[in-house]
Amino acid sequence: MTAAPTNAAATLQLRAVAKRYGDKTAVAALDLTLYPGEFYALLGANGAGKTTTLRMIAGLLQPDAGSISLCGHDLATAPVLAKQKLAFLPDEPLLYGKLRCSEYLEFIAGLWQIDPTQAAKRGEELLRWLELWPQRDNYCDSLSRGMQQKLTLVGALIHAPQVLILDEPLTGLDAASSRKVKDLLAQLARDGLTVLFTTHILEVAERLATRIGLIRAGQLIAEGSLDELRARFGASDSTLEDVFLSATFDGAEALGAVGRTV
Amino acid sequence: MKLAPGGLPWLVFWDVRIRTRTYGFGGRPLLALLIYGGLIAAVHGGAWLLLRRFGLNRPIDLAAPALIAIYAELLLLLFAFMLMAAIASSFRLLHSGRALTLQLGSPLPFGRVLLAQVLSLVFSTWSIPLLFAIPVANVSALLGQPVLLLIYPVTIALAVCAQALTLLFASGLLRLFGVVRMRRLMPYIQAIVPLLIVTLNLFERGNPRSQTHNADFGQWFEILAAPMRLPARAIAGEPVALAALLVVAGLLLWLALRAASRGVRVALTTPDTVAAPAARRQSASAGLRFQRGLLRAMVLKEWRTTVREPRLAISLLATPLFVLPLFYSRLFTGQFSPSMAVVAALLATAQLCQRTANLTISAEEAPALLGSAPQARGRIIAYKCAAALLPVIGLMSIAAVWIGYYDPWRGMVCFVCGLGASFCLCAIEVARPYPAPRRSFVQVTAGRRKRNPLDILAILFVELGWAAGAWFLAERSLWGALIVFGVLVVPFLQWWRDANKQSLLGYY
Repeated sequence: MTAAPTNAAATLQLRAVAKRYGDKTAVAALDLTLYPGEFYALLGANGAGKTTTLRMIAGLLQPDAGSISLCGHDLATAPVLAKQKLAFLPDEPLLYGKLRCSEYLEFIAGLWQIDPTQAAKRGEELLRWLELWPQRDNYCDSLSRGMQQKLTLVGALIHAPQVLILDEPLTGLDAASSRKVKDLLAQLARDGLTVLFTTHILEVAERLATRIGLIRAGQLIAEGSLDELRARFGASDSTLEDVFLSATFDGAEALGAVGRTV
Repeated sequence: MKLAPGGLPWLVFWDVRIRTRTYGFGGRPLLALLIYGGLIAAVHGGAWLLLRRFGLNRPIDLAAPALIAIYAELLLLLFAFMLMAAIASSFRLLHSGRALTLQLGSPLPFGRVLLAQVLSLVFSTWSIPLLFAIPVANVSALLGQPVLLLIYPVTIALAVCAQALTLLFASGLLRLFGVVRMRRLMPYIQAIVPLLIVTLNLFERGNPRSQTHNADFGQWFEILAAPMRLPARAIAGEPVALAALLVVAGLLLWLALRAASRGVRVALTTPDTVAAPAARRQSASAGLRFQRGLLRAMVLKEWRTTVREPRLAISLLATPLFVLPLFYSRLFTGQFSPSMAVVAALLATAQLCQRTANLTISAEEAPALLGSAPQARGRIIAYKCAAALLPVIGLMSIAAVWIGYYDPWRGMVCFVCGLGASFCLCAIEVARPYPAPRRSFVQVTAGRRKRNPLDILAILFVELGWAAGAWFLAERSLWGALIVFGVLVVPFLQWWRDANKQSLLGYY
């Protein structure tokens, strides 16, 4: 595992991003920088502000303060250019039950306004890779939950995004599908795709992430490679789970580490 | 009073509380008080005017046979409306397995859970006389006829009867067709429910007091109105009639629960899924072929997701049918003026457009997909409006051309007002603060029920306002133009009311 590369232009940059829901602070002055090819896991307990952060990056929630830029385009001033580079997958599949799989992909190609021939070619490749090709003319609601999750991933990748935001990407997948998706994401990251994901399955983050950020009460309390986090929060043979529990539940110590780590 | 947890009153209390919580204006009690208080005052004021108009604002002999006959006829109409509401709510009950997971998984006996649900449905069915009949009785009581307050137990008993009868009907269908087929049949049955009122209207012509009296229908109307003499006598203050009515209602409820218990239990525990349609045949080697264009993609997506969900499609097509009963008697007795044709076409257009706009604009299945797409929110909403408007304008144009063939002025009024009403209704949907998610027919129905009452008032105002404006314009009166200008303000008021418009679709 490697730490953040600093010699490339950032694909995703959050500067002092904040969001409040009434009196509750969901995200507080969050800074985050991701580079091409990075596989970044944003981890935190329930209600820590992970989903709010992802939804702000996807343009679904307006930050109260701060700025977000995607591949150099500010999301607030050039949203169309910024979103062109982005794909977002929430934990619930983004499907239309009564569209056929191929129609669903055609709709996404229309939304991202990509060349129909290229979109069809890429869609076919992805469907075949994720073993959904025989289902291409079935209605989305006739697919199993795992298949729906895979189809949503095909929809996200059909427009060749540079930043992929995933909220619990492996929910509902069987072991074989889970492996396929992980392999595909790892391959895409090697090809330069930036992946930001959240998960509660820490083994997934441990295996895939090149950098891990720990978030609590809307604040990034630590980030770094697994080895770096181990060095700060546990022994050298600690699992990510040990590190996570130590960092997110030992309040004073963890907050003390913020200055040293971030 | 503290209710025992798990008991029947406790279950009914929680169910009614959850059902009515959505009408609380988001925890703004003063606004709720103002609106509901205003509504109650308005219907009572209307009742007082009505009583004055017919000279009933002084004590009269309530037990007079002629009056009993009139009560029976009115109660028959009220009962028909209650039956319509009860059919819809009973069918909804058969789809509510997911909502009742907690109760069904609890150690409470199923019979009690079902009875609580049915009583809660009775409560919603009883809300119909709350608007029509009860204000008249309240005002009559204030004017010296307190015995008319018996309308409360009488209408509650009628609501129980309506609910029990529809439950028996639903249980019969369940036994006949099974749960899955029954669910497919339900929208068709609901679609023809308005014909109940049409039929009643037809039989009403057998009423000697009817303006369109036709003796051929006489005996049918007598037969239909006969059972309503019992509640009519109860309202007039006959204790035996009241007791008999309550016994009949109780017996019917007991019978319905006994007969429907097993069927409803099966329906509630059968997943609400429609069998997957067969895949389109395509050769294994055929690749994907996509077409260009966001407008095309958006419009096709909206139309496909609507027409491929049979329950949605049928409920949509049935919408204009609900306008039919309003014009039925005049249509078939030669009293149908061209201006009335304009109003009928306009009401049907507005009803249809309201439904299509609600489906395409406010009920989005994957809002996060659209919100994260590189498209301006305004553009997406404009295309959704196009998807809602195109079929409505197409159908409305046919009506306008048909009317214009006989009278070009009225044809033009029909077209322009239809267009205006459709645009206003789309604008109201766009101005809604939060669109409802749309994953199934059940969710769409639930979303419609959860609408802010101010939205509903705005829609009613626009529909009726445009219809009234069209009537006056068709009659070449300038009042029509004034009404139309007044109605045009409504969507702007809706926009001003909330700044978080369509926020589920992103904020750019």
